[in-house]
Amino acid sequence: MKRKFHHPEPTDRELAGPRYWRSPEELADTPEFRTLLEREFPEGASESTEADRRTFLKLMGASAALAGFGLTGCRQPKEYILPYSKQPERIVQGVPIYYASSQPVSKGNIPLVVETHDARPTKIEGNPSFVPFGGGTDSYAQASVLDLYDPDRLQKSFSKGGKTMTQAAVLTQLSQLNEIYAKNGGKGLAFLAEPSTSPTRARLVAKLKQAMPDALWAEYEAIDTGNPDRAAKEVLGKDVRPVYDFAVAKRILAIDADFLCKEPGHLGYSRGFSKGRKVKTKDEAKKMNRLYAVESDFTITGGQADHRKRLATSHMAAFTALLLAEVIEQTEGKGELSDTIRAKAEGLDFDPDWIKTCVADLVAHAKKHQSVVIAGSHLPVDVHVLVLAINDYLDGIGYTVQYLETPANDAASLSDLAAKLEAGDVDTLVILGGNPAYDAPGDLDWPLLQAQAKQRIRFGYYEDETSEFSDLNVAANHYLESWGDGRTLDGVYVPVQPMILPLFDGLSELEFLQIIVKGASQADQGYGLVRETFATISGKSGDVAFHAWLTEGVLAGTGFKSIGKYDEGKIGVAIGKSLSRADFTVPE
Amino acid sequence: MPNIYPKWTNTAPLKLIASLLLLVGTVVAGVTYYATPKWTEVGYEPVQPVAFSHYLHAEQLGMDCRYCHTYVDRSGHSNVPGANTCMNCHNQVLANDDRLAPIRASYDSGEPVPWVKIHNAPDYVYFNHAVHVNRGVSCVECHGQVNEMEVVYQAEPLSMAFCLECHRNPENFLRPPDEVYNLNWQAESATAQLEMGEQFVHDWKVQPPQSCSGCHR
Repeated sequence: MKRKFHHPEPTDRELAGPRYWRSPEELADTPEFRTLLEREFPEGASESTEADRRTFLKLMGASAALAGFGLTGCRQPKEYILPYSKQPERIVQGVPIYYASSQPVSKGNIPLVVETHDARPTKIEGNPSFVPFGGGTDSYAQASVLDLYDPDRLQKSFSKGGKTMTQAAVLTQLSQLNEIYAKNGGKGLAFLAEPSTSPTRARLVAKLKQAMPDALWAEYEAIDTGNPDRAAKEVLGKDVRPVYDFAVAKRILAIDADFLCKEPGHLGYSRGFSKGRKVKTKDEAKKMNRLYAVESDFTITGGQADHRKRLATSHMAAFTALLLAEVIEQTEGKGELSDTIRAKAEGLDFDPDWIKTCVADLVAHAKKHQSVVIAGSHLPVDVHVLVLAINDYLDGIGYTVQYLETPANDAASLSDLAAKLEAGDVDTLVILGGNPAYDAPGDLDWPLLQAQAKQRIRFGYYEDETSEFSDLNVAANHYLESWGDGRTLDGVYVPVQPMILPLFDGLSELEFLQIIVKGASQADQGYGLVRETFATISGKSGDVAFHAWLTEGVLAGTGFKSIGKYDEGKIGVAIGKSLSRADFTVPE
Repeated sequence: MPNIYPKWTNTAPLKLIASLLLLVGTVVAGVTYYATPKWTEVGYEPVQPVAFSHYLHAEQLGMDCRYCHTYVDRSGHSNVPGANTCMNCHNQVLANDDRLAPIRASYDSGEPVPWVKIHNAPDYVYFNHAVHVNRGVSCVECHGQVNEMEVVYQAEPLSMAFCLECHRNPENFLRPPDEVYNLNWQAESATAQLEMGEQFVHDWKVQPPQSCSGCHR
């Protein structure tokens, strides 16, 4: 029996208030609506078509029985073998082919061996021919193979408003750029690119500066690790880069430096450190290295450290100053210099005995050049100047830390470009990779700045914050489908080799630059340019040498040279300069 | 004392057990015969898009298996030839025959010819062709007399029991490596096969995996 609900009658107050309705028909209160309310089931629902319940059940039962054990229930499903129409040479299905390449990273490429199945890259491993890394890769390199197949990547170039453009149209527009700016010497043309180790790109940039002297080439990356290099340049007067050798270091102090996991070159550093850690018998225990870490975060390096202290990053400068003072006192003796330094680093709450013992240990091993101090690359330039001085006092330079001479890079900085944009001097802004609208320093207000340029061209992999403000977005190719080259952290020349034709309508970076600089591209994903650079660097121009380089993945003998002897007097000068201009006191 | 239970309960348990045994026995027999690969898969002879006759090509013309199935001795997968292999001869032989239209269409357009798969090992089993073929297991052992088939059908169940039969006694099925692709080869007698097989097992250290993880990787 249907339950009948007796809802209370609406009160006067309710009737006077707003009437809520759930559909326009209810509001209109049409006669059709009222009949709808009355009928429990809408029209047609309660009548069945032909069969009644019994017939329905009979049919259902029969079909269920037939479907289960009938005609095709137990047969294997039809599967197809779909072979090639024209079988390609050399590809054996089921047997992978390996290619040597490298992942372009701003500080130093990581040499790779890429496994391909049916001509598609599937797995990335390190290239053991590069001995310092010994075949290691980091998680970004491992993940980069998935970027190739990312459904979100740009498949077609597009102009403002989302209108897709064919590659031919893009090439035409870019070569028009070249025509305009070749005539007026590049006035009004500005580039913002991510730093790259590629000698071929450097060659193209040099050509650009020759053909268009007024054009501005700026480089910028979101996470800057250049402070150690800047400090070294200041002190030693040349473009140099510190590269550490932890295999020979027996006493290591890491100042907010996660050199086992995050610092550039960590793949080689962790290998070297493990070598120093390995002892085979109890008697060899004395040969094991010892790691001191002072850090502001939980890191792998801190986890590995034998002695670890916690200290805020803002206090690291004061700590380094105290450390330098202690090193000077224990090597040369207490004097005016160490007193000045101590006075500068007032107010640091750190166990002075810890510093004393640590420095004593470091100094004891300095005779055999087995000590080293490393500071995190995010710390200020002045901290790195002091660390360079400490390593000099510990006689580590040239042994546990090498200063390698790197090629000069006269690229402008982001702030130079920002100034030019503010002044309204930029007509065409070309952005290569990166995402400045997202990760440029906030006080620049980059989206506003970018709008100052009259034409904005963006060469990128994704549709992102920067592409929103751009007039032309050119789809970029992945490094696994472009030709290129690069250098590792210590300067060894490595290839970037494609193993698949570009999946979509994109351009590789070298090709893109080539069109703007020279007016036309060779449509070879950059192959011709790389061959020219290889011939210059190796001195051999034939196929044999080039293919040997591609097979091996590294070109032996091309590492950066160490700086060798340097003027130690410069160190004293540098310490004085840092002390006078930087603030080493501990913040409140 | 009155009879509580009716008379039929005297024989009921016996009758119940008997009928149960009969029922279960029928079901088991039925499943064993009808629901195993020996019944469900042997004899599967689907219609292929092109009426390719192995009897004509392999037996009458004498083509080696590896002319088309090129990777059988190099890879874990054996391959079916691409249209370019067929066109090597058929751009001149029967060049405009209607029966070869799908091949020519595939060669021109780049689309594959949709051959129907007959021998299918499940995904939870790892099978490597090259290992078997390079160690003296001939095509006929698993695929039957392919060189006499006008239309290919599945000749062996390819069930786990079938594989284990050989894996447990490889000497019954091995042959000299240069006779692997000679599908008409037969050992002189059963004893000769055993003798030769045992020699091979010893000389080549044939140790086919018999544990679970050998195939279920």
